[in-house]
Amino acid sequence: MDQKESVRDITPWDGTLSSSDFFSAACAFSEKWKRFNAFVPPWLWVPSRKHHLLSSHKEEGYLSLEGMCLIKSSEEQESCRSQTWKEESSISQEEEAVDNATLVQSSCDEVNHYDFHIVYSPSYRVPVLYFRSYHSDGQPLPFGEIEKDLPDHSAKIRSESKWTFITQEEHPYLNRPWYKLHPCGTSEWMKLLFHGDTALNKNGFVIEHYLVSWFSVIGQVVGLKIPLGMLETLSC
Amino acid sequence: MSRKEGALLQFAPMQSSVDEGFWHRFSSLKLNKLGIDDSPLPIIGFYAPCSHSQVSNHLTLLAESLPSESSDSSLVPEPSSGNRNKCSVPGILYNTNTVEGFHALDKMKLLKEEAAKIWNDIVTGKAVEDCSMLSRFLLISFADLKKWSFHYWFAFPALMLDPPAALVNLRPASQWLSAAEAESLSTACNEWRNSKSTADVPFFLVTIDPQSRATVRLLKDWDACQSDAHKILFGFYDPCHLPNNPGWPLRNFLALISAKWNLKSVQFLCYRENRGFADMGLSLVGEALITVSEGWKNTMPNAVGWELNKGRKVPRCISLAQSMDPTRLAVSAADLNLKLMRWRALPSLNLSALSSVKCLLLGAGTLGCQVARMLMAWGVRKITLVDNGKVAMSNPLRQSLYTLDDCLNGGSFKATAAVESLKRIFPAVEAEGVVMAIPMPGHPVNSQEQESVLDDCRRLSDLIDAHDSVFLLTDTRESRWLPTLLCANTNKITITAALGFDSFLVMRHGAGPFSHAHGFNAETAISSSADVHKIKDAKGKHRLGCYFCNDVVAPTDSTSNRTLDQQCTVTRPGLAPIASALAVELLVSILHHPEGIFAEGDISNNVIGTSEQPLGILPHQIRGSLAQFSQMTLVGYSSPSCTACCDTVLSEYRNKGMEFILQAINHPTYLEDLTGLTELMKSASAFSLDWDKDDDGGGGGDEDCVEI
Repeated sequence: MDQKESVRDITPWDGTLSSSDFFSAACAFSEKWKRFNAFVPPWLWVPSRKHHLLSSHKEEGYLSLEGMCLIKSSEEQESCRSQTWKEESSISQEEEAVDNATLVQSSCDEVNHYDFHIVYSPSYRVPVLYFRSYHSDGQPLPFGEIEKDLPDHSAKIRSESKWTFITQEEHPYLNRPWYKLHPCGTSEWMKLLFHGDTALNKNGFVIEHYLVSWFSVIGQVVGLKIPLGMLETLSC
Repeated sequence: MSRKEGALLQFAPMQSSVDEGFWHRFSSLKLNKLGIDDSPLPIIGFYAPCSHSQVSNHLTLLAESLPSESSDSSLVPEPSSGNRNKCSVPGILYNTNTVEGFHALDKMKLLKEEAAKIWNDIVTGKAVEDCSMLSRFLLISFADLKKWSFHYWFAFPALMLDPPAALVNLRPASQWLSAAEAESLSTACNEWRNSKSTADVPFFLVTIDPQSRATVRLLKDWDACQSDAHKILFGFYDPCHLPNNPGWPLRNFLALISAKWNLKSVQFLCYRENRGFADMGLSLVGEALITVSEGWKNTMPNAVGWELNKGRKVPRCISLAQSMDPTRLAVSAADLNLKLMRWRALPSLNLSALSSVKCLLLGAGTLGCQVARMLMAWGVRKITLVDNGKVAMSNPLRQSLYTLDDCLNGGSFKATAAVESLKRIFPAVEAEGVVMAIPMPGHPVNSQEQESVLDDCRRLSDLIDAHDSVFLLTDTRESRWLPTLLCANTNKITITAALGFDSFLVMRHGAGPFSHAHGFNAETAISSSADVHKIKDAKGKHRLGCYFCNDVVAPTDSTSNRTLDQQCTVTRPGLAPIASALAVELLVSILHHPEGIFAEGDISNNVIGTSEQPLGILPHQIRGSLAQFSQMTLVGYSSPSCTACCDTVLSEYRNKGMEFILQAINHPTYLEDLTGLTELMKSASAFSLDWDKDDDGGGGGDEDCVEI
């Protein structure tokens, strides 16, 4: 153990995390989030159900924040989103009983639902933000629609920084295409965030604050705010 | 807001939400396990109390709503329990195998059957034991697994009270309860919601004693509640967020209360939360008046409940092709690859130019197969292959698109087999195969064949017109003549690859002598001077040479009078992949050069003229040798006597068209006479000097080549 630590002290930190460090960082992050964010859904750890050669690895999994809703006013909706059906498969008035007890609702607002996952990438050794969006009935949103929901400065960040771009790739656990912020530049700017200070690598400081720092940058691209209180725990 | 007495109690309809994962798993089940079996499938739906003041909760289907895909498990989904966000309710899925079957389902009958199950559970008391039965639902669907679209329709059967219940009043719970009662109830509800055994029980009883203490109990404790002179509320998880209406689950709850316990006046609690905690401001308490006749409960009531689609009684449809169609997934993965290249390494990469360029490959052999693959790797989608041969047994080893199957039964046509192979690799490729021979000078045709040869000439000309870039990848020198001429005439990007035993040549042809025909960047049409031997192109620059510019003999028949093995492929196998790869990289460089086909030829290691283009230099010719493991770049200029691209020849072609072609094919010396090569050779042999080769091209290399 000692030897490992001293090596870590000498070599400059490369901005990455090991898989078990990610788990610790995730726990620290979700716990802080709950503390500072009373009014937003919490980040939950979802353990992976993949089989492992070794005994139960509860450390394999990802952080999940689901059910963020973005309410779109009626004017913003496209007029004919769903397929227009002819009445070939309808129920005639005579068949169904007359029912006055059902509330007839006039056009209601469309809601865009967002799910966010923070998943560890073993090849880049950094966390990656995956996200997807869908309407209330489950229909997934195409990226063009999602882009309208992203904050204005997101487009700016993505066009300026050569490290931040959104791609669509298979979710490593769910085996379906999700959108993600590509991780190829993450280790670079994580190094910058911590000023490449190897001294910080002691006592697990980096691990504890890794995700908070990481999220303070990533969150801006998708419009997820991080409360100031959480960021203040970083200053030292 | 309290309502007037006697107003009709109106319920907000339950809304459905189907997660993509449900359809993914269902598709998988259908393909791997169910097949065409369309018997009803039990499924599980999930809902929870509303947790947002503006957004209702939905009855949700997820992947785990369906049974597991593993072959040894039964066709029953594993129920989850104790999850506060996922109250399980039983449902049934009728999936048809055709869209006609879907429309033909007897919807009222199916609805009645499910409603009957609910009624039965009420009457027998099963619903009191397991109250989630009250929210039983029905789903009909048609999964189109070719188009990856899913037609579906939910029904949430609700037993109708006859006459319908009246609403006495309805207001937020915080207004109906005292402050102490509200606090006690919140606490009790939060405990109920946090306990694994009750978190997902969606119907319950609330008793409030005179000391303002609230207790939450299971429905089966009804008798225990009777003894106390307490306030009783019938509580349920309400997915609806509306302030003036209770949610759908209350309908069957009232039916149960009336049928089982004979109550006329019912105080109910629409339990709603905010961010995971009981919220008495969002929760509603109301009083309903039930006025059904005595005999009402003796017969099964009517039922309603088909979900409306934007106000209309029609089914819904969702398309998941984007995330399930393997071809689309392959396309987006390929695009991602190229985009990453652009984002990370080469911001000026012109992906739209690559995906729109139309490439014609003359020859589907060793070179053709490799060039096609490399083009696809660069994102080129439009590829046409021309070859009149069939796949022979020795081909698959060196010609990377073919396998043994293509050789059987005499062998498939290469052009056809190549296209099929490309589509197997990348289904979205737009590939076409043309089985055709290329007319060649020095191979005379008799009068019977003449018409068909002329047809082939015209066809070749049309093909070249229809494409942007032409690769000359045939196995003889003379077969390259006509394409070279036609390309020079129309200024198409032309790339030649030719192989010797252990050496190769890859080059791009210069622009043709005329400016106005499909010029790449030919902005200014230089007025034609009377310069007969035009060696300058439209931009006034010295034209780069074509494959034949360095020849001093016209292309003739190089194939007959050679032994069989000399005609066959005899080159070091590594050559073809190297040359093919260079040919494609050369094309990509041309496409990214602002001057395109008119660009000057660069030479590597040239400090002064180092290209500032992001992809590097754009050479004219690349000659390589495997014997030396070396490669060099050369520049050669067009020859005024070139049999394929000089002004004289092209003018003659423009004037005489196919007649000229025929002459060239049938008369071996025609081209030489025309271009003055005959004269040149006569005068050259009159001297006894060595030739002073004033260009670097070194046409002598051609005679060494046994092209593939």
